[in-house]
Amino acid sequence: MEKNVIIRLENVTKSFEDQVVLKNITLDVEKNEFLTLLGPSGCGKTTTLRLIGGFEKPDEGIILHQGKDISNVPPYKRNVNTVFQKYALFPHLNVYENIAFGLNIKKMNKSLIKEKVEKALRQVNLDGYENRRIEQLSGGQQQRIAIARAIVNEPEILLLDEPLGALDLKLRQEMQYELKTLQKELGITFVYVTHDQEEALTMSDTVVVMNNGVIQQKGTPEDIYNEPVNAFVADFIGESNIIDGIMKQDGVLEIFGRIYECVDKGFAINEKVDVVVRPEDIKLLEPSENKINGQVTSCIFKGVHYETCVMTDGFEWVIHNTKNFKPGEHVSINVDPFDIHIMKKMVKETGT
Amino acid sequence: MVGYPYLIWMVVFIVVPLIMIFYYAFTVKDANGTRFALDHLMKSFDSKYMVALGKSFLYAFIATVICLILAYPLALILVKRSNGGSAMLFIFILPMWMNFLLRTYAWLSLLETNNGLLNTVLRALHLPVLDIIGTPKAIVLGMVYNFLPFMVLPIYNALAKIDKSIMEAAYDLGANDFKRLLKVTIPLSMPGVMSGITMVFMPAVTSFVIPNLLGSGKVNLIGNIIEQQFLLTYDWGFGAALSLILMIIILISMAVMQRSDEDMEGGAGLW
Repeated sequence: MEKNVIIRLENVTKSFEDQVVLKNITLDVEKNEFLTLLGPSGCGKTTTLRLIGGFEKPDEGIILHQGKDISNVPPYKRNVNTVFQKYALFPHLNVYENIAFGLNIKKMNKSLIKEKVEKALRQVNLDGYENRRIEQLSGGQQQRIAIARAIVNEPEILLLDEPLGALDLKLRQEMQYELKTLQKELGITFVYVTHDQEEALTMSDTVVVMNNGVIQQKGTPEDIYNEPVNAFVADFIGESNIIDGIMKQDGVLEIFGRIYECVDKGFAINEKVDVVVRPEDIKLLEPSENKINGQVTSCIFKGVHYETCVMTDGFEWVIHNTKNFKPGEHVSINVDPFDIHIMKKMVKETGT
Repeated sequence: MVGYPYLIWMVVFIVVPLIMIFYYAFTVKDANGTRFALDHLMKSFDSKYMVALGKSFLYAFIATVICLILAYPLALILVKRSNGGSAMLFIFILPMWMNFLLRTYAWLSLLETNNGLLNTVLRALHLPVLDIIGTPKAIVLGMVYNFLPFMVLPIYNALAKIDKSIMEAAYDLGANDFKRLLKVTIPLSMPGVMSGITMVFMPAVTSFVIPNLLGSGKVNLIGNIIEQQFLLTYDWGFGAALSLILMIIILISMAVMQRSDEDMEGGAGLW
């Protein structure tokens, strides 16, 4: 198992006042991977990042850096740099001085600093901006300077706290691509925090889905999307239809009182389960016997597809297809057994 | 339209009095009536008055420096406290709610050589008696005590305004507490420091109540001399001339300070 773990959080618990933010988290971050902590606000993803950065100390558990306990090492002694959510550039310094800040602290040779700052500016495509004042820069430019200021220190790990949150969609997609390229170029570990599932899937090597201070699932973007471990992950990563069902036996599922074939195994006989079906995995066909039949309630054009809602047995399905249905049309729901995902019932937690 | 009441206020209470100061400073009254003259201004440059002016600036300067040395760490501590140190700040501001004269009289009775509280205690402990009433030390003490809140408040505000993530960024980039204070906290709080200096130095340099009471009239500062022209000798013209000179010197020193602030890349102060 000891692959190349650079940071390990071991049984970490953290509370603020009475609020438990992280509940007994264990997480390995591997060297040179792009790891994304993904979850809704308040799930503990930012706190996890701040623990790695050293801005918070765990109440319980330890944080290991290449096997050494660093739980109580202050941020300025960690070889980790952060790109803050609100950029946090120094308003009294210009672009050059901002980027050179960390190198100046290390008392590096002036000409070497100049060389490194210029290289960092080139890496974020802002060469020639040395003498600009911070307030003269746009949000996107400030973001790039914040990244340059962090990477110029050549950290082992770069922490990014929702760095693209304040940018518009176009710029955000551009930056996603650039960040991914930068990570490959630098060959360092990125730990990235976001609540945007698309961002997480686009950039990451590993996605860690969190909710209520607990890690729900860790895996590659494909794993997380195709094999979500529970209904929360399925619902959070893209839209999903989540239906109550009963596993009659291996490969046999009951929903809405009808028996269907599926590929999942390993559940108890008659175990109540969550059945998850992706909107794009549903085909709408003519109604027929032994199928789930229903009526189209709405059909909205979304660009690449139509979002069709179909009501059957009191449940509203969301379907992505390419045909424009009329509301009131009778259709049947058709899903390939392979696309039916069966999940253990979540222990219901209040508030989510 | 909305600005007019303020404009009227400014004209009546600022511009007109200023014109009157100029008028009194540059005119003399004699048997032939009132005429333009530089007599008052020339008299002001007498060494007696220049020494008083110099002392005023020296004591005000010392008081300002002491206020700054006391206020900056205090403001830092207050800002760091979880609730912004509002309870502690309140205690430091509390004396401002009491009458200025009352506060200064209180110091007089505390410091009195024979029956003062301080010396009674010192005597009881068989320690040497502190005889500072009537000396510059007492005056500087009075200035520091009275004007300290004016230094604490603007610095506190400037520090409280600094984004927490900027402080964390400094940590993140390898600055320990001391380096962060030097390279981030102090530069970013300079606007507050500048307003604090202005708000302490100006009232200190023109003060006449503090030297009157705590200096027991033995130390004549420029404020006292001006006061005497208006209330004792009724030489309004000379009083006005001295006020004018004081005002011009303050303006020049503030402009110089502002310039040095800009060189240090601080933000806008009071000017």
